[in-house]
Amino acid sequence: MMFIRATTFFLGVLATLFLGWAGLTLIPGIQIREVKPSSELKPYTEEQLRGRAIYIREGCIYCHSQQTRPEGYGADQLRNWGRPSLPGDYVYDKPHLLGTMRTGPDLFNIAARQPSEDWHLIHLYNPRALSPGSLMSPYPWLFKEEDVFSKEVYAATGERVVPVPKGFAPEDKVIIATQEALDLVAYLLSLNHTYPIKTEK
Amino acid sequence: MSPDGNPFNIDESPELSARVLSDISVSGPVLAFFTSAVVWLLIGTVFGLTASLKFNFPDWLASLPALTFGRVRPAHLNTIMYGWISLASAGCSIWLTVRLCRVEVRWRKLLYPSVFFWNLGVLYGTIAILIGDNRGLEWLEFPRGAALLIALAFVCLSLSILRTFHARQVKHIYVSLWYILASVVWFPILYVIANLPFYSGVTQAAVNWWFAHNAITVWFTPIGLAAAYYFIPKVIGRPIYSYYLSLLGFWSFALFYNWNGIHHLVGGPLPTWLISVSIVASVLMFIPVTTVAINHHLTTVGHFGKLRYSPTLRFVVFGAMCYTAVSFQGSIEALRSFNEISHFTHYTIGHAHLGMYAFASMILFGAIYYTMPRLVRWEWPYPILIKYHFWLVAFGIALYVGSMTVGGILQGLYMNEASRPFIESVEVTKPYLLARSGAGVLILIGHLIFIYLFCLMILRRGPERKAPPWREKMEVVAP
Amino acid sequence: MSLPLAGLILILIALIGGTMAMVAFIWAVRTKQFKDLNAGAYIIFDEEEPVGKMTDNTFGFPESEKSNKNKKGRGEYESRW
Repeated sequence: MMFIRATTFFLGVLATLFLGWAGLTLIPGIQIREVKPSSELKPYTEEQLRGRAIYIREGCIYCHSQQTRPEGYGADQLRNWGRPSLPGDYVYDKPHLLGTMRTGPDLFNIAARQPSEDWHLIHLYNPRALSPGSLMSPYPWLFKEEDVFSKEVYAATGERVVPVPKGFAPEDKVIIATQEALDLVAYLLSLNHTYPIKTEK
Repeated sequence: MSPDGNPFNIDESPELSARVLSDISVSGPVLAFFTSAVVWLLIGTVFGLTASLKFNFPDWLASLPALTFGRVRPAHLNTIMYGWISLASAGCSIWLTVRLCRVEVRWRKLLYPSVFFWNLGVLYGTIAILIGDNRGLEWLEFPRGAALLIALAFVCLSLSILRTFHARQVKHIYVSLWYILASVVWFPILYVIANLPFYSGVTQAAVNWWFAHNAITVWFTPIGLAAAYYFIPKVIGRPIYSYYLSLLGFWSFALFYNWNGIHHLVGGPLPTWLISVSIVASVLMFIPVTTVAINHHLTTVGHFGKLRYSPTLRFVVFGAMCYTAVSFQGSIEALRSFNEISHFTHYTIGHAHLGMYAFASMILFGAIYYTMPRLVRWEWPYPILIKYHFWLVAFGIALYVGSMTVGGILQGLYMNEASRPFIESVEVTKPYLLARSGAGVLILIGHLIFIYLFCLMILRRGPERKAPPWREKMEVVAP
Repeated sequence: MSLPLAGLILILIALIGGTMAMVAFIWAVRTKQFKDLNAGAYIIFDEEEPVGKMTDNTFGFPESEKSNKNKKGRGEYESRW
């Protein structure tokens, strides 16, 4: 009797877990698997993937989302953050970076809103240089400081000088973007999903 | 040495009740779980306060990559979840199991490796996050190696609990034990499935949030409820009001709560039916939560005066009431109309802390205050300090949840007004984020007091208080 | 596998599972599993810690060897054990 009771209990318990698993992940997974991405969505390049890894490393997801909601769910559309995002937009995303916080704005189409590489580099160096009330962390380790030489020297070496506004960098230094900064910005500039979606079934 | 390797000398003790023998048999492992939990509590609290201060002073310590918000915040979450709460829950669950089975622990030899691998996993995972090796999934940031260690550790705990259950000397299986048994079977399966490498895209998002919510469903909440169902009646000295209600509560909990996960993605790029299903399940949670609330309340009503005498009762009743509050809040939060305002804001963070702190952690404090004297055979040396602990963290968490709730709603309202620049939704939260740091300071001080008391207990220091009668009957050889 | 088919399978599983649960429940009631359910609530008590006795008095009992009997209302909770 106790054995039957105990077995029933454990079977019931396992069933509740697996039912939830099936309903929330298995069935949707099967449905989503059929979705084909738009031909305009390209797989990430090597550089963009490196940048994506830095995005993950620095925990950008804890303040930024990458999912634009439809009308009726907040002001995403009114803020021109991009058309509602769909499963097909995320086919090359591993891991997904949908995010659950908007301490900062949604980034799913940031490249369409802010295509300037300079802007992103300065912003990463110190967000408050461009956005005075921002709470975002600065990322100085993605950059290096060099003593000021002439612009021509840097142009010749191919180093990427970042035009940080006065007061946000040491007076006698010039800020150079490292490869990591460039990779991260390359990733951010790949975030443009404003291509139209074909309404197919 | 007694037969199963227990270092306590119990040969001269035929009068010791089964209860005391059970306590003695698990004291070593439970103390190991609790001690490591308390260490992670300190570390996790410091990480939490640091993360909060980073929002108040974004350029503070800004040149240290390991302390950037994006690393400290997940370090806080993981050390608290898999460190403090999990390890304290593990200790609590094995202690409750032997008590409720009225038997000495079985497969005790699996418990110390469990403690060891668990701590090793959390340490490895936390260092990984701080140096930048983050898997990029919320609640699943740890590298797979760390996750494997934790899974192994958990399985060791599960096996010991299940084997002990098998050897039980009781005819009835108490409600707390249902939750514990379900837990130890559910969580390893959940954790392994979630960490598999097969997922990508929005399907992975579904798996991610199925996991994250289910960790609450199958591990954190059941142990909290198991503890509340035991300590409230046990401390007061009255049985639970309605055992029938607890049966209904358990099965409706198991059935509905497993479907909640996708409420974290309302409005997101997933099939509408999927999101709706989770919203419905979230609202259905009113049923199990109400049964638990009725049960606990009607057991306590008329006896609230006893909270004056028992720290355990204070912490556990506080926690149980917050369980009701956070669950009702969650059911509302899942509704689309509310979610439109609260999603992506600090409101969610307030909700998370109402659950994981005001419910789960407070109950675990209560559990530790009850069990420690019975494990180390020493009384808490300075009860006044326990009162300071309680009031500091009670005020602290109230301030925390209050500030994040109000700040979050304002943030959401401003974000939804497209005519307002986005930065205004940030500016409006700043005073509330400062209040949150203040709350963090109160909580940290409360924790430091708790840790001090805990150390005194482990070392059996401080003024000796009146000893319990059974200890006077026999000399017990301490480990 | 298409969505409607997958959904149908899920609903079938739920129906079968629900039926099994109902059968189990009816069996349990028939074989009187629930007759003495409330007795289970008493299992947390024993001879030394019976119903009616508080088992935690950390804030109540004396700081030292001095007796606590003078304090009003505390006499009933003398011993934690």
